[in-house]
Amino acid sequence: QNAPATSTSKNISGKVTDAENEPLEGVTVQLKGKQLTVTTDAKGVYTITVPNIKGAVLSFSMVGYSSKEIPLNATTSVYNVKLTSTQTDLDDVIVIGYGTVKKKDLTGSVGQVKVEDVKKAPVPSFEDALAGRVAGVQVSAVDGQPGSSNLITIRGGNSVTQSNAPLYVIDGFPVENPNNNTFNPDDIESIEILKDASATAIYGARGANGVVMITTRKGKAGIPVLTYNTWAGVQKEIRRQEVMSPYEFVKYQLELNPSSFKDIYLKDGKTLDSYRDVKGVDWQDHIFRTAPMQSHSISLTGGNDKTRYAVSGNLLDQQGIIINSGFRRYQGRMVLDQSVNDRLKVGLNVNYTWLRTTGQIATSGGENGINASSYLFFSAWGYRPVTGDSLSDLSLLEDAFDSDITTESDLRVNPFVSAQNAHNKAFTNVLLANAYLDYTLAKGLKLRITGGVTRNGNRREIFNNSNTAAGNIRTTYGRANGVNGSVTNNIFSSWLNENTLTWNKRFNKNHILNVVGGFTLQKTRSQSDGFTANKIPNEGLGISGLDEGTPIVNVSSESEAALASFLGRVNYTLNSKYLFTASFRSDGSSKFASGNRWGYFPSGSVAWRIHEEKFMRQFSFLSEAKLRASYGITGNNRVADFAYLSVLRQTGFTNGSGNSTPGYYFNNAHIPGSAPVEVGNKDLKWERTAQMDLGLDLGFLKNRINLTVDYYNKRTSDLLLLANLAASTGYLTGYKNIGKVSNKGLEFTLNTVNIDNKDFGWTTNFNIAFNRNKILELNYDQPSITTRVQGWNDNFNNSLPYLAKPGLPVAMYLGYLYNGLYQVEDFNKLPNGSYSLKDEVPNNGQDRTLIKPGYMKYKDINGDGIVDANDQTLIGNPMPLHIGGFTNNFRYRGFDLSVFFQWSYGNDVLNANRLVFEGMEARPFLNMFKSWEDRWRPDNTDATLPVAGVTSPNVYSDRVIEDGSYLRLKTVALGYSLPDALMKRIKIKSIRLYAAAQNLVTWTNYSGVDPEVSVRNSPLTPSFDWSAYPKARTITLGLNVTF
Amino acid sequence: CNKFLDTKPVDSITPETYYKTQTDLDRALAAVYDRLGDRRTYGCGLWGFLNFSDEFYVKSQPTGYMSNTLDASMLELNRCWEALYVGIERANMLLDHLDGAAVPDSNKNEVKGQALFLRAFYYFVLADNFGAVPLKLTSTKSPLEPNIPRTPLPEVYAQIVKDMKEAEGLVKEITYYGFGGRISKSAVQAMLARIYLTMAGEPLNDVAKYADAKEYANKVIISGKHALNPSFQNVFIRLSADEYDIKESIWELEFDGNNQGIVREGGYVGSWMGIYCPNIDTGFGYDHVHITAKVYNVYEPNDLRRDWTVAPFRFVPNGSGTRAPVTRTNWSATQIYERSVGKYRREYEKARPRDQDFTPINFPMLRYSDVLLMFAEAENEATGPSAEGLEYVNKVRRRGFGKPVDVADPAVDLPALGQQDFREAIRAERFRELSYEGIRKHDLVRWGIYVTTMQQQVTEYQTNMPANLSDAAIKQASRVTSRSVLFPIPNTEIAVNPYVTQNPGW
Repeated sequence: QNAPATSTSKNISGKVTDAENEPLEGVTVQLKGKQLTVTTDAKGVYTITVPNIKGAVLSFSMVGYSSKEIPLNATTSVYNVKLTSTQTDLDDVIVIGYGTVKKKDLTGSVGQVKVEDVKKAPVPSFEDALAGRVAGVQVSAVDGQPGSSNLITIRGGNSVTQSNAPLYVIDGFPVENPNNNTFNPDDIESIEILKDASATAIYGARGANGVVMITTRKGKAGIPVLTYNTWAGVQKEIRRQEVMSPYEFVKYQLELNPSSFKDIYLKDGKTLDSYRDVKGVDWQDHIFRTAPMQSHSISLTGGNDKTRYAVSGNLLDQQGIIINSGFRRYQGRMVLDQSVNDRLKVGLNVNYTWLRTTGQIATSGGENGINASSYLFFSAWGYRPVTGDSLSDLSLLEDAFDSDITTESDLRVNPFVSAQNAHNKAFTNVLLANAYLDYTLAKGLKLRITGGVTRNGNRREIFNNSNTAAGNIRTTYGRANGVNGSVTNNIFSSWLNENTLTWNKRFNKNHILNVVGGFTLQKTRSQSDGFTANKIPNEGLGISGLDEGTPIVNVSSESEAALASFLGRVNYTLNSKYLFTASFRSDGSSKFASGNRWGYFPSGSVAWRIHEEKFMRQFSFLSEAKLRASYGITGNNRVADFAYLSVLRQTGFTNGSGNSTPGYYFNNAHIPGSAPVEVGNKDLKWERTAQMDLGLDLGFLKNRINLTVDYYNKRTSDLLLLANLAASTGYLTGYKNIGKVSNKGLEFTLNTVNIDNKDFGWTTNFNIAFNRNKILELNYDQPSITTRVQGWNDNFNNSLPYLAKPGLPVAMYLGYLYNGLYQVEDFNKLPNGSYSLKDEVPNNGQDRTLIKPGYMKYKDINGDGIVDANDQTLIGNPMPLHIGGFTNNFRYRGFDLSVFFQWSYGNDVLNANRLVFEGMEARPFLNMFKSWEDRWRPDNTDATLPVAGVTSPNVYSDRVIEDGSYLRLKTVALGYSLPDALMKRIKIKSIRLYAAAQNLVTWTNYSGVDPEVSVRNSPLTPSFDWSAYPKARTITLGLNVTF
Repeated sequence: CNKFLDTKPVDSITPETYYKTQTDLDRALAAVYDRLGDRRTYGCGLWGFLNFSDEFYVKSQPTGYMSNTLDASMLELNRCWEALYVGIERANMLLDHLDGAAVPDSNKNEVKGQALFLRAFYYFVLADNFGAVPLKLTSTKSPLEPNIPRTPLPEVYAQIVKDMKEAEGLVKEITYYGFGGRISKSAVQAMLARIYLTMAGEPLNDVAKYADAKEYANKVIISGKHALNPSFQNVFIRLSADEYDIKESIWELEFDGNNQGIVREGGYVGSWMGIYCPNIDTGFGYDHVHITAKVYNVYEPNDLRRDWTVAPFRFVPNGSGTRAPVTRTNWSATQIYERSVGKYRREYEKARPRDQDFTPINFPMLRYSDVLLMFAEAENEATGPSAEGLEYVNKVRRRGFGKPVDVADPAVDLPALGQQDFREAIRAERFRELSYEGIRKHDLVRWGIYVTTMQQQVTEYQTNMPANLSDAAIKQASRVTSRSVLFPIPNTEIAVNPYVTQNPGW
């Protein structure tokens, strides 16, 4: 090159590209300090004539990129410049099905969980911290039982009777029902939630409920990094249900049955006033405890260009806030990635977890479970605080049963003794192992073969000794079965092989093509076996003594399912402004008969990056504007493995009739029976969900403000419905493809960087989601589905509180309208002193002759003078109007603070606890809630609750439907990182100390312990509160050390 | 790829692959019998809380499922309907696949006859209690099959009769089996007599069927295979002790064991309907199904059946709990309403240890004395009284008084009566002989006097019953109104089958 030697004027040229060598158009190139400016063309090329080369500096700048200054020298005339994007957020790589994509190139709706925020919550499982993190993802707890799982629903439930849980893809491995407690939150690198059809259709048959992509941490090239994270703290129940004091209790008992209770409570000269200052036994004091919880994680990562590794382990020990309950996890993971040569790369990811949960399940009545009194909190709230024998009542605490309660159907048991003796343990072993091989066949063409196995073994042990309700001769079950126990093993295993080809090609600078194609095979197998033994002679031996008892129910079952799939996807980018994605998957499932086996699931989406258009330049405050639209079809095959076949069975019948087998005795000799128990549907096929999504992504002020808005409209048809059949068919249920459900919604996510200085930073994340769920159609023969809540209380078996009906959400509360109390004026007083209801006053669902002043009234809606099933109406909606979360992260020098709020608004909860503990189960010696103080008495006629000893029709009414809206200060974490200077001296990379709290404050009008509850959860029976394990407030101190 | 997807169930059997061997057929047939013993059919409901009449009330149950508070949503009623149709489906499934079995035709016929009988019997129970019901004679192949409407009652009965008659030609003689738990030719014939009697009465009033009833009762009588057990008490002792008496007990429902092992086929006869006893080892008796004074008073002096049917004693505990010692204690002469049903006595039970609820006591479905009384009734209605009919009634009476059955005894025998008087005499005799055998309500309904009888019973309870017992009894009886001759069609059918209409008044 012949540089002009005499003149200082010089032509300078070059190309400006981004970090991936993509040409950047429109970059401002300016001679520093002068007016001279040019811009790069579409190829990123600029040419500028610099009058005086000496001391000249060129500056390159463009919105969204950090500026660069290049000093010129006399000898060089070509300066190629690379600008780095400041939009790091947009350059984030997002994990999608069978690939990754830059956030800016995304055409679908994918929610990214800020894993760093989730990790700040002191919880055993990432699920516990997921609620409110991503718009449109509803996460709620069943209750607070340690080791229990959360319910995750993405964009509303599609199915009416089948599971609405999303598909999980763990390091590329699809798993339908993982136990998320098996993950160490510290191992998680990223969580993406695929929401719209364009994102989920690549998972075809299983994508309809959304997909949660979990990627675990891999090794990174560089010096080894050793981290140790630990936290320890205490948990305490958020709230207790207030019950009556001994004085109030005795007063109530004397009202209930003055003659007989007088002998018990007012003997030896005692009066009611004697109980005023009696402390009695507060059972909740005895069963609740301040429970410690601790976690220790250690990990080592490192590697070089060729080899990368990550090894980690975790120990978590959570004691439950109810005595003798808890959760423990031991977990280890090893990840290895190895480049064999330029073309071949292999890797391995193995995780093993051991879990143990212990303690009585509060939401289960156990073996006695049809009776309200068999539940933990029936006794914890209802066991009497004081006997009439002495005022100290030590024996109450010690005796397993209340000797004054003789009714056999009353399974009340000393909750303290019972909880201490409960042996209900679940042991879970989970092995997840997968391996991959990446081979570059040619430039841009890559073959990936993955294989994996998962094995989930679960063992449950139950032992009912003589100090428990189910093992003591005082109860029907205990008497019939003696000391008893059971062991059940469930093993779920699956293997998967996936083979994909990926082709990346750029045709000149305007066309970028990414094509994926592949096929996969997966097989799952489930097995279970176990046995129950009764009349165990040596209860001291516990579970190991089961073999000495009488064996009862032997279980042994096995099933399998297979899935084969072909998939393909094309991403095409035109001029980096117009993005197109089309995907297709066909799935073949063994769950359907051969003619209906294959399902086809297409999707397509487009995105337009508007801000790349020239006409948008003027809006310089707008750093990102993208419109997205997608449409696609996904499926659901969550039915039993062989739902298309009719089934005959010989054992395993439990119909409460004493006939546990379908056999018969002939001539005193038993012949086992073989009976058809399920009717198969050979026409069964996929449930299909068609989903449309419109999205807008906006970034302002160099993306310091990001707003994402999505509108979606889902329509699920060919609903896989476990439909009720007319009993005259011989079956009560059968699978049908019938009915349609729609979910429509709006989601907003706003991320802002409010302040970002060297010393102080403040970022905010806000998201809110609205979903409207509606049944469009049920099968013709079934105009509506009403559902009873089974097992909580057999008195309520004839009342069905949930309604599913076209035009309404999948579940609505159905019941009577509470209409206050009968007053004396409603009655004629008869000569014998008793009251007779006036003819014009309607009854309340029970015989008119039974009704007395102070009984509750229900509204006679149809005005026929009789309150009966025709007077039921809609009394509440368990679906929230909106849900969301609000996070603020602050940083000041070495300190960091994260404050996270989460809410649910507009949802109702059925508080069934009040159906028992507000006077309705007038069993002798049963304590009641504090609210029962405001009951009807002749001197308290405007009471809210009925008279002592009221009998009532066992129905659900709006009285116990409560607003379950809540706002929770869910997580607060305050940390301090020790100064770098100090760290350098002690050769430690970083140390962070922190304090974190979970479930710190909850604002709600709900009168129960916690509004986030759903103890009989299913799409048809959500938000039912009965004897739930209370949620805990957790406060911890933690330490992160990185070497 | 399709081969990979061809998974086969390894844990369950499908109908296509079953019903091949003799064992398959035996087990399928056992499953058809099985629904007879469901708690809501003859396990309890159909002689207890779903069968209210003037012979019993349920003690201390003014509300709840045992208090005659019926409606379409009542769980137990739904389960009853379901159990009967499950039995029908099991029979249909067996009958649909029977031809393909690799067993000799004679074996097929034996199975087929029993299955046909049981299907017809389940329909009879349905028709008797619910009226016209959907008649389904093939197994359900798919959940998508259209629902069926109620078949008119005469057609339901026509099918019942057709099946029963076909069964008559297929099943074996009772002497072939030597026990009464199997459906035998005598059981089919005796059941046909009962069915014809029912058709001749309310609500069909097809009086021509009295002659058929007589014919079929007569077939049993002249078969020479049956006779009355000389001792009325011994009939029930044998039921309790799991000993058979094929002469008297033509068809009995078999229960066995104490429900404490893997196989649980115990029943509630003797515990829910039995002598009050709070001790398990002696033989726990809840005495839920509790006698009325009307039963006690229907017996003439010296009729030994009275103190067997209505127990003159109970077991009084000395202490509390279910293991406290008990003493057998007689009631005083004035304590009538306090007494328990005494027909089924747990002291004769052989299974050990005894269970509180579940007993091995068999339930009598058809007895020879019933056949004799049916003959007399059918003949009296068809052609008027005859010496033969009178003799049959008197045989039953003589046995009741502990006299030789075949020897005329003026002290006991009824004199020759006119048609109306004889009708009343037979009805009273049925009450005395067959109380607590699940037949009384059925008789009252077919005689057209169920509602009036129960209304009188309310007055009886109000007038004569001790106040501490009467509350539940009055409420239960007063819930019988004109609609009560039929149950409501349960929700489990009516909510999903739009072609089924509800019974009047429900």
